[in-house]
Amino acid sequence: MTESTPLLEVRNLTHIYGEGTPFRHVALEDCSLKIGRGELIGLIGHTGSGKSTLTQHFNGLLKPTSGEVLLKGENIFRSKKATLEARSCVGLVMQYPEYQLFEETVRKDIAFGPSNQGLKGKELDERVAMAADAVRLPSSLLDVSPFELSGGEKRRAAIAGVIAMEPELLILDEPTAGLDPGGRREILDLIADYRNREGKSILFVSHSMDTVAEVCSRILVMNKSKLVMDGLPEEVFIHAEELRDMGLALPEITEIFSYLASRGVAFEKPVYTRDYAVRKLLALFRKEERSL
Amino acid sequence: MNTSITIGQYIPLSSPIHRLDARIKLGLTLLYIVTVFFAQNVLTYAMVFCYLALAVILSRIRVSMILKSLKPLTLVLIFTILINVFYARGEVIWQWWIFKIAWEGIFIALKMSIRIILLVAGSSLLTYTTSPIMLTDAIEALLSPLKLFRVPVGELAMMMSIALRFIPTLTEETAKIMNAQKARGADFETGGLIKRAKALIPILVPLFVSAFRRADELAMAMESRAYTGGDGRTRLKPLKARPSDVLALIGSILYFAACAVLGILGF
Repeated sequence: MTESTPLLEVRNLTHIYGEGTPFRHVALEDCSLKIGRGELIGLIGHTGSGKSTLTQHFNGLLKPTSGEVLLKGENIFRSKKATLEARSCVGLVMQYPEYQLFEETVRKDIAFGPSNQGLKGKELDERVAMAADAVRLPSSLLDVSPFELSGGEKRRAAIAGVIAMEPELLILDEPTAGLDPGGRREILDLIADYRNREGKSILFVSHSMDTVAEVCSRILVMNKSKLVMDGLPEEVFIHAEELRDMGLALPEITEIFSYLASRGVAFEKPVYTRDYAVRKLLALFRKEERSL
Repeated sequence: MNTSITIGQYIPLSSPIHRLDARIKLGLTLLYIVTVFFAQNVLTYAMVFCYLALAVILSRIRVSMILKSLKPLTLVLIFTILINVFYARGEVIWQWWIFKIAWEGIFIALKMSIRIILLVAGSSLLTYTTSPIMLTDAIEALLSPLKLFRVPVGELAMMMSIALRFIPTLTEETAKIMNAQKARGADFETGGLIKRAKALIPILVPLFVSAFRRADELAMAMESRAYTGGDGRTRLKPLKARPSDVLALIGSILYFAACAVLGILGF
C-alpha cells in the first residue's frame, strides 16, 4: 500500500433496488469518490437522494449492482472474509441508532461490537471505557440498562457501540436527528473532539446544511441518486441557486451574509462558520467606528 | 429501503371478481368449499371445476399465478396420493411384499388430490382478488351476528386490520435492525443451531421494544381521535352490495345446490 492509496475509494457505484420487478428503483447512479485518512467529510442531500444507500456500500451491507468499493486499495467484496473485515474497519452508525440497543447493561451493549471482533478481558474493558469516554458517558451509567437512559444518552451509548470497534472510518447517518438543540450541540462537539484526538476519518451524513457547515472541511452533495458536488464548503456554497433547487437551504449564517452582500457589504468568500462570521462582523464594526 | 413488500397476495386489478362485494365473495368461497366436499363423481367435479374456471377467467388473474399458489402443496399431494394408493381395499392389480395397489386406491387418490387442488385454488382466488382490509371488513360483517352473544366482533376486526397493517412496517424495522447489528460485526449466517439462535437476540430485543413502543403510540393516537371501540363506527368505504352482486350470489347458490344434490344422489 502506497501513501497515495486513499482509505476508501468508490468507483462508478450504481445500485438498483428490485431489478426485474415493477418496483425497480435506481437508488445510486455512477457515484465515484475518495476518502482520505483523517478527513471530516459531510454528505448532504434531500431525503431519498441516496445518502443512506451510498453509505451502506462502504461497509458491505449492500452489494453494488455495478461498480467497486475499495478499502485501502482492495475490493471489499472479493471474499466473505474481506466484507467482514470492512465491517470492522468502517464503522457505520445508522439513523436512530438507539433502536439497536439490546443488552442488559450499557457496558455489555458497547462491548457487543468489539467482542464480535474477538476482543476479550482487559482489552475489551479498555475499549469500552475509551468509547464511553469519547461520547462523554459517565461511568456511573455503564451498569444500568440502556432502556433507562434519556434520549440523548441512548444515542451517545449507541454511537459508543460503534466507536468501540475503533473503525478507521466512522460514518454517522443523521446523528443529530430528533435531538433537542442541546443534545445536537453535544453530539457535534464530541464528533469534532473525537476526530481531533484520534485522527480517524469521519463521514457525517445529514440533510441539514447548518450542521454540516459547522464541522466539516469537505462537503459531498447528493441529488436524485447522483453525487453532484464534492469540494470545500466555500466551493459548494457558491452554488446557492443549485442547492436551493435541490431542496437544500444554505446555512443560516451564509444566508445572512449573502443578504448583507446584496446590500453592498463586500466579502471575498461565502461565510459559513460561526467563528468566521463573528470575526467578519467584528472587523466590520471596527471599520464603522473608525469612520465615525 | 425496499418498499416493495406487500402483504398477503392481493393482486390489484379491475375485474368483476375484484369488484364483487367482499362479504358475498367470502360467503361464496365458504359455500364453494362445502360444495367441493359434496362432489362425488366426474360430473359434479366437472361442475365445480367449471365454476372455478369461470371465476378465474373473470378475475383476469393469470393461470400461472393460481398454479403458483398450488406449489407449496406438492408435498401434501404426494403424501395423499401415496397413502391412498397403497391403503385401498378391492381388487388388487399389483402387489409387491406388503404393498398392494387396487383400482379403488388409484381412484380415491385421484379424487382426493383433485379435491385439495380445487380447495386451495378457490381460496387463493379469494385472497388474490380481495385486499386484506376488505377481507377483514367482510369477516367482521359475517361475524356480526355473534354480537348477540357479546362477542366483540368490531374489536376483533380492528385487531386483524392493525396486525395486517404492521406486517410491512415490522419487516422493514427488522431489516434495519439486522443491518445495524451486522455493522457492529454480528454474524447471522455461520455457526451451529445454538449459535444462530443466540445471534437472534440482538434482533429480537430491539424489535420487541419497538413493537411495544409503536403499540403505545398507536393506542395514544387512536384514543386522541376518540376511538372507544367498534360500536357505531362508520366506514370510509362501506361495503355495498349492488344488484349484480346479489344476482351473482343467488346464481351461485343455485349452482352449488345443484352440485350438492347431484353429488348426494350419486349420478
